[in-house]
This record gives sequence, structure tokens and C-alpha cells, in this order.
Amino acid sequence: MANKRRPKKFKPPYKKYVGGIGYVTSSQIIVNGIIVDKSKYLYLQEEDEYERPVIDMMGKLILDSSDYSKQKHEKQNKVSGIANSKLPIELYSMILDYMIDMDNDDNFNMNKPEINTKAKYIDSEYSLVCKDFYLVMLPRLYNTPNLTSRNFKNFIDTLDEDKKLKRNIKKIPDNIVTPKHLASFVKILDLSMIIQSGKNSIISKLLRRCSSSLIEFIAPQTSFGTLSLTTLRSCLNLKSLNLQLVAEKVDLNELFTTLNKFSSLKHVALPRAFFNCELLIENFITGRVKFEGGSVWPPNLVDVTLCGNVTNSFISICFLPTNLKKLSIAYCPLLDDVSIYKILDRCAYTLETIHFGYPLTKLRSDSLDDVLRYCSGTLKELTILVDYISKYFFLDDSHVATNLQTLTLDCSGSLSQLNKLHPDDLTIALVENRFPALKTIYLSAKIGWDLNSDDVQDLISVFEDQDGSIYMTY
Amino acid sequence: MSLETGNEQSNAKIILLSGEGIEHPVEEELINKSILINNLLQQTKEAKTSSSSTNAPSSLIDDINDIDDEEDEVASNVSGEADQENIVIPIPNVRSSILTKIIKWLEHHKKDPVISFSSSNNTSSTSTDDLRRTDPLDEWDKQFFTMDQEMMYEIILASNYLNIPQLLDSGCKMIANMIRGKSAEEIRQIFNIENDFTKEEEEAIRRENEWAEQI
Repeated sequence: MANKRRPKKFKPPYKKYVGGIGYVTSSQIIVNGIIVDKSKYLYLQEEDEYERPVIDMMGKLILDSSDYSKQKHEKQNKVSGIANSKLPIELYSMILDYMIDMDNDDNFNMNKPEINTKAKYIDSEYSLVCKDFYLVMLPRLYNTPNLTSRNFKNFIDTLDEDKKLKRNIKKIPDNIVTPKHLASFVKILDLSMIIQSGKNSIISKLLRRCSSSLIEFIAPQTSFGTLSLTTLRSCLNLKSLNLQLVAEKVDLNELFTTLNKFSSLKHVALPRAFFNCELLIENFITGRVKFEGGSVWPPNLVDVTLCGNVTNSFISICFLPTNLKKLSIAYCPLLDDVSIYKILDRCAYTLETIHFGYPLTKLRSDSLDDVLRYCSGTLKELTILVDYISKYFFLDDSHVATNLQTLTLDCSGSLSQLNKLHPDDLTIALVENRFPALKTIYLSAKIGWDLNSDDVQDLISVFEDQDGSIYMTY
Repeated sequence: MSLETGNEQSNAKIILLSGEGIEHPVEEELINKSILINNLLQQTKEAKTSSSSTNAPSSLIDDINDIDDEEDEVASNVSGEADQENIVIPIPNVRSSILTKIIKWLEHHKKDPVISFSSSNNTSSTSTDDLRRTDPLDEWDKQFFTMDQEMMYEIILASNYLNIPQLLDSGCKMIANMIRGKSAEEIRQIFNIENDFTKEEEEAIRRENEWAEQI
């Protein structure tokens, strides 16, 4: 226990002798050979760097009024680096946009670095021109940060520094770098290249920092845990959420409880693995958890990617929204053809794009034959797997797609898929004018069609009459 | 003093009055590419029809001045013929030589389709006209912009003021291509920009941008 009654230490002011001036205490300073009170001198220096105190022979501080006003005027003029430049800042901002786009165009920039995320390549050198350029570049630099395993930590540190500055702004009012709320500039967070580089807490922290402005989020393959899912709740402006890469199991009940409140969410891709699907159904039926609009899905969805262990009961109870424009179904091992047709029955009136991806293991070799029967005139793009269709997909007279423009025939390449369809099947459908608007066909090489064979040449010539073109994909 | 650049036989003639007071007659069809003047003319016509219906002769000028009374003053001079009139639009902050250049550009791009620009396009780098930004500049425009930089800046400023999106687009493309890949110091020299960063600030920004350089 400290003795509180003990008298405090007293430090006498340190005195030193300066030749020709006399004794100087520690609270004083010598300026131009004159003793000046240190605190007063420093205060004036900090207050305005242009206000240099003028000291007369009596040791008093005097400011020359004319000099002072001149310095003040100079300071006001020095506010902007572009004050004497050729163009106004709005035009510089426009030119910077052109420069960024040209830097990202192969025709202009042959040495463009390879970027695997949604980000654009942005030369940060432009922000060093002057303060106005820096402020113009900030939203461009942080709008879609190109995050890879190499710079992820640095990016987090930069946001942390900014946050610390923001927190301590009152404590250090004269700091050189002012906080810019950098995280609020982040609109698209593509973490697809962050693999084994971040911890759950770091991803969650990043998501929380950017939550107010974030409109698109692509989750990383790893380190997207329960904590991040909870943080996701605060991203109320989210328009697109892609969880397809997430390798960890996601709590579906938690996910849908969160997503249900996102009124601006338009694109959602479910994770590859999740649990608590049955609990979600139970909560929805019993009303234990209140879902807005009487549906577990967000109200304004237009694009859904069904993925993972979506069950048939989930599809039949938690109906998909009716105003969908795009539907993708892939990696759904529990989904059977009845459920797929239930989805199409409900949503096909508005669907413009349908994508079926491998594997859908519960489907038979002709399960998707009747897809076109459900689709309406709105369908423009269709990707279908040859594994799950037979020749009757093309030969049936009732299978008509009046506005279909792009057809992609994909194939898993598994055994017995080779030559399952014959080019003549497609040729007959074209001749019978059942795909009048079709302009592009993408064929997977795994289908096993020989481009030089007579049958394929027939198909090409018939399709060319329709002004269409066929591409082979590998 | 006047410079004849447009077709004199044309009925609808607009006279642009440059900063030096020189008149530049130009066809209405040509100058309609300037959104500012196009809007002004439309409003003038509307004002004219309303004034003729109310029989208030001074209301036309008043109405136009209400629209943009700080920058533009439109005076309509009724010529000898009762139905034909020349509208004089003063453009005080554009020099005559620049105006001549702009009219020359407008004449060459007479038949180009009008590109519609939305107001949100100029701020975001992720706007819908991304493709347009990287379209190659046509040869004539390249030749047109082979001039000293001061003049090029003035043309860009004038096209920004007159709101001629296609000309502004070409000018910005030329400058962007010119300074792309240059260092901060070189850009400062080109645009006469003063470096208002202290050494500490520059260092702090370099540290802040470190993540963006590690691709």
C-alpha cells in the first residue's frame, strides 16, 4: 500500500547559466539571444506555423500586423494545389476515370497486371499529385479493393490505422493524416482470392468496418464462420451476396433470418454446404421466427443460385420469390426433378436466364427434358446439361422457346454421355423454327461432336441461315 | 465583325458572341449538340410562345434571364422579316479562336448520333459507359487535338461549359492517354499543379497505399 500521506516530490526549477544572458530556468527558452517563456512560445508556434513571434529587445512578444495578415493570406491561398492549374477538379476527376479505364484495357495497357478479382487495376501514384487528387482517388481506390493473400494484412492494417485515428482525433488534434473513414468507401468486397490468409475474426472485423456502405460481398473460401454471419446482419445495403466459395458449413437458419431483412438484396448465391435446413423449415412453419413478407427469402430477389444440400421439403415449403430473372441450380445432390419443376412452375413466367450446372445427382438421364414446356417467352438464355436430357428435349413439338437467344449445351464428360445427343436433333428443332430468336449456341467439346462431320456442318449451315453462330467450349 | 462558319441559307441561325465580342453564326442543328444551348433555345421558344399568347413583349427576356441570369443573357433581335429572327447568345468566357475550333468540330461531327449522358455517369468509375471510355479516338479527332496544350485545355473547358459531351469525351480521352502512366511529379508539371503535401503527408499516403501496390 502506498503511503498517501507522504509528501510529494518537489522538483526545483533547473537553472543554468548562459554566458552574456544570465540564469535560465527549464521553463524558459532563448530565442535570438533573448529569454522567452517556453510555453508561450511553443503555443504560438503550434497555433499557426506562419505566425513567427517577433521579439523586441525588451523580451516581449510582438507580432507585426502587416506581416501577420500577409502570412494569413498566403495560407488561405495555399489551400488547394490545383488553384493555379489548368482545369477544375471535376474535369480532373473525369480524366482520372478515363485513365483508370485505359489502364485496365488491353488495347491501351499491354502490361496490365493480372487481376483475378472483380477489382480494377488502379495506379496509386495518381493520388500523390496533390491533396485534391488524393481525395478524388480515394473512392476509386477503395471502391473495389483488389485483395489477395499478399496484401490482405496490409489492407486490414490501413483500415485499422484509420479507425484508430478516428478514435483519437480529439486527443491529437494536430495530426498530419486526418481520418478519411476509408472503410466507408468500400462498396464491393471480393474476398475470393483470400484463401487461408484470414482468421474468422479478421473477416468479421473487415465486414463490420465496411458494413455501412457495402453493396456486394463475395465470401472467402475459408474463415467465414458464425461470427461473420452475425456481422453480415449490419450490411443492410447489400445488393449482392455470394457465399458459393465458402467451404465451411453455414447455419442456414441464421443466414435466412439475416437475409430476410435485406430489402435491397437482389442477387444471392447459397453456400455449398449448410446445416439447420430442417430447423429453418420448422421455424417458418411454426412461426417461431418471424419472417417479413411471409417468405424466408428476401423480398426483392432477382437472381438466385441454389447450391448445397437444399432439400425437396425446403423447396416445397419455402417457395422461391416469383419475380426472379435468373436462376442457377448446381451442386444440389438432394434435389430431384419434381422440386426443379416446382421451382420452374412458380418462377418460369419471369425467368430470363436459367443455368443448370453439374452435379445434380438425383436427376435421371432425361429429367430435364420438359424444362422448355414450363418456360415462357421471357427466357433468353439457357444452359442445360446433356447428362440430364435426352433427344426428346429437341424433338418434342411442344418444346418451343420463342425468345431464346443463347443456348449452352454443357456436359460433365462422364461415361455414356458421349454422343447422347445427335446434331440432327438440334438441326430438326431449328428447321421446325422452334427456336426462332436463337443466335448463339455454345457446345461443350465433351458432347463428342466432330465439327468437321457432315451432321454438324448441316447444323452450322441451317443455323447460319438464321444468322446464328456456334462456338465450341473446352 | 463576324466570322461566317455556318450555311447562310439556313433559316435557323444562332449567333454565338465570343469573349472578344466577335459574332459566330452557327446553324441551330449544329449547336444543338451543346446541351446548355439546346436547353436554352427550347426554353426561349417556350417563353416566346407563352409571351405571344399573353401579349407581353418584355417577358421573353425576363423569363430567359430567370433561367440562367448569371451566366447567359439571351437577346433576340428581330430582323427585317417578321418571322425570321437571329438569337444572339453571349459566351463571354470562351475566346473567339476556341469558338471557331468548336464550331469546326461540330461541323465534322454533324451526322454523329447524339449520345445520351446521365448525370450519375461522371462520378463513378463503374458507370454504364465504361466501354465508351476505352473506345479508340478517331483519326480526325486526333488531328484536331494536335495543338498546343493551353488551347486543348481551353477547348475542354469550353466544351464542359457548353456541355458538349462528345467533344468533352474526346478531349478527356486525349489528355488521359497523354498522362497515363506518368509519375505524380510529371502530372504536376503538365497541369501546373502545386504539390501541397508535406513530406510527412506524402510518406503517410505512400504507407496507406502500400496494399494497392502489392498485387
